[in-house]
Amino acid sequence: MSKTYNLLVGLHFLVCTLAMIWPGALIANRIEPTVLGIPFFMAWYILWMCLLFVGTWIAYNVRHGGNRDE
Amino acid sequence: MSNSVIITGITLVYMAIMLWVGLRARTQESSSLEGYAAGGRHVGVVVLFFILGAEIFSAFAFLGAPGWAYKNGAPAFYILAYLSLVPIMLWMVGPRVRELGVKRGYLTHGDMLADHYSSKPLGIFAGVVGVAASVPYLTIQIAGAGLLFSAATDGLVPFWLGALIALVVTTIYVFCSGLNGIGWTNLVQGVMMIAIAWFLGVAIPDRLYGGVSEMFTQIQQQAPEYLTMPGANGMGWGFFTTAILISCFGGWTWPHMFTKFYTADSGKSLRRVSAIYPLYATLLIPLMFIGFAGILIFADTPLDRADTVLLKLVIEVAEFSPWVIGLMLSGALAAAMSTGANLAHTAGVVLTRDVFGPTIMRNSSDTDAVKVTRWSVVVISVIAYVVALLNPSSLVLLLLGAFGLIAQLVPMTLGALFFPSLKRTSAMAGAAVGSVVFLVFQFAIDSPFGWHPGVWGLLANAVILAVFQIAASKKPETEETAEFASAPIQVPEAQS
Repeated sequence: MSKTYNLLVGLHFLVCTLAMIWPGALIANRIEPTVLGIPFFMAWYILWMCLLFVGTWIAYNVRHGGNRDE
Repeated sequence: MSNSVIITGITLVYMAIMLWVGLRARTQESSSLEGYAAGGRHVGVVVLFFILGAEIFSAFAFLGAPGWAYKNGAPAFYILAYLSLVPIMLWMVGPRVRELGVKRGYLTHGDMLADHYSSKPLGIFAGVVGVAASVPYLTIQIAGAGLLFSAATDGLVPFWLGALIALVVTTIYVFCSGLNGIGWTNLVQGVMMIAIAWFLGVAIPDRLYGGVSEMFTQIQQQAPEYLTMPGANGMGWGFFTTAILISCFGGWTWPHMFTKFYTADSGKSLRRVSAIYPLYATLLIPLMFIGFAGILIFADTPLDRADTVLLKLVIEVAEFSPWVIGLMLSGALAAAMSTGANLAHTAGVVLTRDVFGPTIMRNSSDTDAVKVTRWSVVVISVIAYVVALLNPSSLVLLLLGAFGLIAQLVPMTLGALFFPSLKRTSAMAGAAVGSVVFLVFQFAIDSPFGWHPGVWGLLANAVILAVFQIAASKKPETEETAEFASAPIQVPEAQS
């Protein structure tokens, strides 16, 4: 469980990082379509900020949720 | 004139509240070194979240990030990216650093390196570089506070006085309350920064363009190059990417961040803080809006200094009431002072613990250590203030150099945390070569491909480290490693 868990969390971090740097961010480097009026490239960064939050929050709850300790 | 009085009045009230909060946080604990330096190692999730948020978001985030967006456009997202990615290292190393800290009584980065690699000079080196990085960084926060005061009050409070007020307030509560004072003031400052950034980030585009969406539509029509890479001034993906990587994966060894891992009440709290940390990073979104708002407004008469864009928009263009300007000033001062307080505190602790501890204060008591740490905070703050008034041009170079060197300690720090088989000679050889490579590309010759020099340093560091490690494993156990393995463990002044 622990090994799979660490692997998945690491993968999550890797994907979030790659999305924000070269080459991941290349695919988002455009203005259209805008998202709620925000250019696509900026919206991309906000999206990954949110995904990092959601993924890490899930990881936290799987491992430390409820009364479980470290 | 009366406007300036209102603005000054609001800000002074804010300063008084900060002082009150900071002094109230003083507890009995503040008189032991563990209490003064690490809040007794039981800081909970909420305060920890705001400490790590407010100290990382400095005057640079509040003024510099809009400045970058205004000047370059999309390349400014590198700031958004690396500050969003901060929680990754927090998650991975934080709990382990804390665990070792509790077990072996560490309070600083140098403590851990000196003990793990049984090398006092290594700990002293980490301490000296840590202080060398903190003082110029602190100077920049103090100078930022002075500039903010004089700009927002139209010179009623001059630079030297504004900087002095900010300095005196933070020094008093750091002196008296130590980490607890920082924790509670950072909480208030953090909330203010978030509230004011969002207010201004929405209100400025609304006043000047009729909304965020409308603002981006106009930029797209008139200056679309700002909205995508490589931005208005042609920043390459190479620098963009390596700057994110070095800031995010090298930044956690900066002393004011590293020492905070020791303050957490549990590893679980550190994990929880890293899970919710992106909520703090969203503060950059409105700050980016403010920078983008400046692009068309100042298209004909570009600003001399990009990092004044937020001030100019709020004070001169958007015609906000003096009440709003006063709040803006307080919010920006919160960003500068929250980071400044952490830097002064950390520099005091590191200087006493890592530099004086193994040298001139070898046999001193815990009470003496606290006393010396407190006065170190005062002396360091005064030095930073004097340097801010003199404003030497080498300041930024010292800052870049010192923080670059700290990043070269990353591989050996990871070794101390997770890879006990990493040998001292390999770690030190890697750090030495990495430091030289970094310094050469930072100051002497242009960095290849325009990459961040720190990345080249770390690559060289890793290669040398691997070579030494492989060479050592091919030989049978040498005397040196055998001696290291059996060296008596010295717990530096473990708390009783």
